[in-house]
Amino acid sequence: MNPTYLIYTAIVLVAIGTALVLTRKSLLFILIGIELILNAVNLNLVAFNHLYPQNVNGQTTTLFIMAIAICETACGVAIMIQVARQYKTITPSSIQDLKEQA
Amino acid sequence: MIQFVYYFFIFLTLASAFALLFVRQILYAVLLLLVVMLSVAGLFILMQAELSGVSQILIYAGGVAVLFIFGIMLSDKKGFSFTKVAYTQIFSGMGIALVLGSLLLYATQVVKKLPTEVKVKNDVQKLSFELLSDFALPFEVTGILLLSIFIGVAFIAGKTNHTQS
Amino acid sequence: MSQSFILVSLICCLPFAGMLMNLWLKKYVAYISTLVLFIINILVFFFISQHETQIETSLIWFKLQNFTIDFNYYINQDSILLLPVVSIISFLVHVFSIGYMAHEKSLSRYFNGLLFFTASMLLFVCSGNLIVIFLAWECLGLASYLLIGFYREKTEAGFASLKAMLLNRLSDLLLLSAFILMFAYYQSFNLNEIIDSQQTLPQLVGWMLLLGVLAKSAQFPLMNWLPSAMTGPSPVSALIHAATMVIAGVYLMIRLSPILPLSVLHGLTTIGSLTAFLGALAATQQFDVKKILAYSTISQLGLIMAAVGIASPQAAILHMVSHAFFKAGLFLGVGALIHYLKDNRVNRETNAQDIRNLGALYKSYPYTFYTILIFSLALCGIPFTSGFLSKEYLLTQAWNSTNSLSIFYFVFIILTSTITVIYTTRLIVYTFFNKRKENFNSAASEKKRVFLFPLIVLSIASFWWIININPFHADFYFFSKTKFITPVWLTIGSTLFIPILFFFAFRYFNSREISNSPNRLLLQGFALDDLQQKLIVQPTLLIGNLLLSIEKKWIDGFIHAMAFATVLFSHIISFLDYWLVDGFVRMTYKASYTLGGWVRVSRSGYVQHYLFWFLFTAVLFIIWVLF
Repeated sequence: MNPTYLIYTAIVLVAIGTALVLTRKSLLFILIGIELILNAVNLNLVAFNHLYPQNVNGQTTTLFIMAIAICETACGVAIMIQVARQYKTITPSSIQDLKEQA
Repeated sequence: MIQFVYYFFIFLTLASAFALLFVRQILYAVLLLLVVMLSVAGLFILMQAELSGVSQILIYAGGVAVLFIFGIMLSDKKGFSFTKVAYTQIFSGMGIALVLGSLLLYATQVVKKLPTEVKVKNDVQKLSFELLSDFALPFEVTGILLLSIFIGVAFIAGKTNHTQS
Repeated sequence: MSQSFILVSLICCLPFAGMLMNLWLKKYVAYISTLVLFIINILVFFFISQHETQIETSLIWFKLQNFTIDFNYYINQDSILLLPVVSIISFLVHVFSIGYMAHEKSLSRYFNGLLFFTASMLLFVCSGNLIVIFLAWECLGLASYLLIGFYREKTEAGFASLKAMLLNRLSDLLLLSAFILMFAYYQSFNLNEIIDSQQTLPQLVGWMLLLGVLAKSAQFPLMNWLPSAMTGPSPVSALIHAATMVIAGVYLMIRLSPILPLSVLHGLTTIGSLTAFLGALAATQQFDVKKILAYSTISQLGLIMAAVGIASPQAAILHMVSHAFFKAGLFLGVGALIHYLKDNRVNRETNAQDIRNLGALYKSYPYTFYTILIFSLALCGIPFTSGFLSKEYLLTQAWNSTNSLSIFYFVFIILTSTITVIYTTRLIVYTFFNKRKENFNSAASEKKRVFLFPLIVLSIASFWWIININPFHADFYFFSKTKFITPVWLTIGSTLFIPILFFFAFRYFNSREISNSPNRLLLQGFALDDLQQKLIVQPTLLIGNLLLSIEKKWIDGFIHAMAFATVLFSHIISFLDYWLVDGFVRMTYKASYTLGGWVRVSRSGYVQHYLFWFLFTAVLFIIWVLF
């Protein structure tokens, strides 16, 4: 049970999450990507906590991150629902309001 | 045996995460995410972090997955069929993800060699002491954060659009 | 303020009130004007009956620091005599005009012109301030100009009015200069003070005055506007160009005669005699009835002017008064005749004013004939007329005068009178006697009573009784009783000579056809038009063209050069402005725009693009940390 593999796994998860966030045409996929990245972080923390068990800071931080992740997801979903109401779509590439008005 | 379970969970995590990249239906994506969460929870338990693993199962499987499914139902449902999600900026996105991943992997090779095998005792008691002593303030702040986020989310999601009506 | 001052002011201002009333009672213009003149007549007679010749009151007109210019009147015996003449003739002309102008358009223009003229003339007669006199003088000129050009659809009327105006300007210039020099000499514009100072004018100013009144009084070198002025309506000719306005110049000389230097008086006599003789000569060759009368007027005015020159203003005034009545009468009579004839023409092309087309009209128009005859006799100076007495007065003054030129003048009076008899007889004979021409319908009648009234009043005023109850004694009622004795041989001579001359002239003209080959020089009034054209108009044009070419070449050239330089300079400035100042500004904004454009490429508005750049930066950061 070599925890180093967990670190590699976390890195792969981060890359996949990043790819999801950047390439998929749906707000839900973006949220999923973000969840993957957060999970990767948790995984990383747990792995390091396993490697250095003198204190439990890694696990504690994992708990906090989970709490904040659920908050973030809740917010994200709420905003997504509102966006869906406003624009009749949740595809971020068809929403261009951040650009200046032509 | 336990070694096998460990590699199995790693494989499951990576495979379902990888599948996420190619799946087109949002509902399947959520289910795949759920698989990732659960296998990560398994990895946590294998890493002697039982509290985190249980929390992972409770929060992610019980909370986030349900939240996502509600989000799908409230936003993307058209009749009984779900839209298929297309791709955008594939090359730049995949490229940057690839570069990021390879850079991080390279970084793990650069830093000093990590120990490969450690004997650790399961110490949930120590964790709870830490949480209620050193981390008491963040703990309380997180509680307040959660409360305010729930109120805020209810407010945001409940707001009807006046310009449409 | 004395009563007389108010009265005179009222007399002078009433015509303006009439003009104002004419503005909103356009239908009754003629009657209102006539009524106003009637009221003025009453006021004038009331004023005269008061026998107040000295009006002390004066109004302060305006002040220049310490110097005050007063508005005052200078009434002496001459003004007292002239006032009723002006007002009566003006009134009669108004009455006549009611009939004469009945079918004309723009009646209000005509009657306002007449009223304006009357006001100016009254003011001119009464005023005692050189500025006001000059103002009234110019107003007279303006009224004359407007009324000569009354028939504005006629080209020659326009030219005639222009000619009158321009010739008058020529001498008005001198008159104005003379007035200004008089002010410099006497330090006053007040006529009372000037006359009372007893100082003789400098020679130069005197001569300028003399030349200044030449045009208005139609004297020799500048007389040719008067025959042209006959294109105006006949009543206008009667009022302005025979009876009143043309004597304004003489009247001014009479007023100033106490201070005129001797050489100017001699000049007056010479010019007057010459004008009298030449005018009479020109009158013998004219065919146009009104032009005969115009030259006759010039000739008589010459006599009057010359009388001023031999220091006998009384004689001048006397002849002025009698001449005003019978000459106005002649013009009105001829005007009435022309008016009747115009309506009865057989051929519309016939010129009713040409005596070659007239003849044997005395039966058709008896009243007109008799009145014209009386006026003509008065003009000739037949005994029992006013003309006889006033000419006798002239002759007596010339004979008794100690002036060195008086004998010369005496001879010229006799010569002029002789020629006067000849042209007057010619006019009468070829108009009313001689052979009948079939140019006009015989069944004509004198329908208009409105013509008769002025003619009869004027013919009554042409007899001896307006001068003296004794038909052979020329001492005027109103003159202060000086010892006035006419040599007996003079009275007897003229009493016999003129009727006999008249008789023979009558026989001579009645027995033959009118001569159709007149002397061209006399017909054209001594070619004064050409002379003025050569002497005044052409040099003026020459100088004008010279100045024009200078203006065009040098002044305009300079201005053009300036303009070109300015434009060139502005072009350079604008070039610099465009490429340097604006260029800098443009460079700045274009640079920022381009830079912004480059930066803006990343700003697509898509969330995921921002995320991409964020991660790109993160990657860069990691690379920086790692390597």
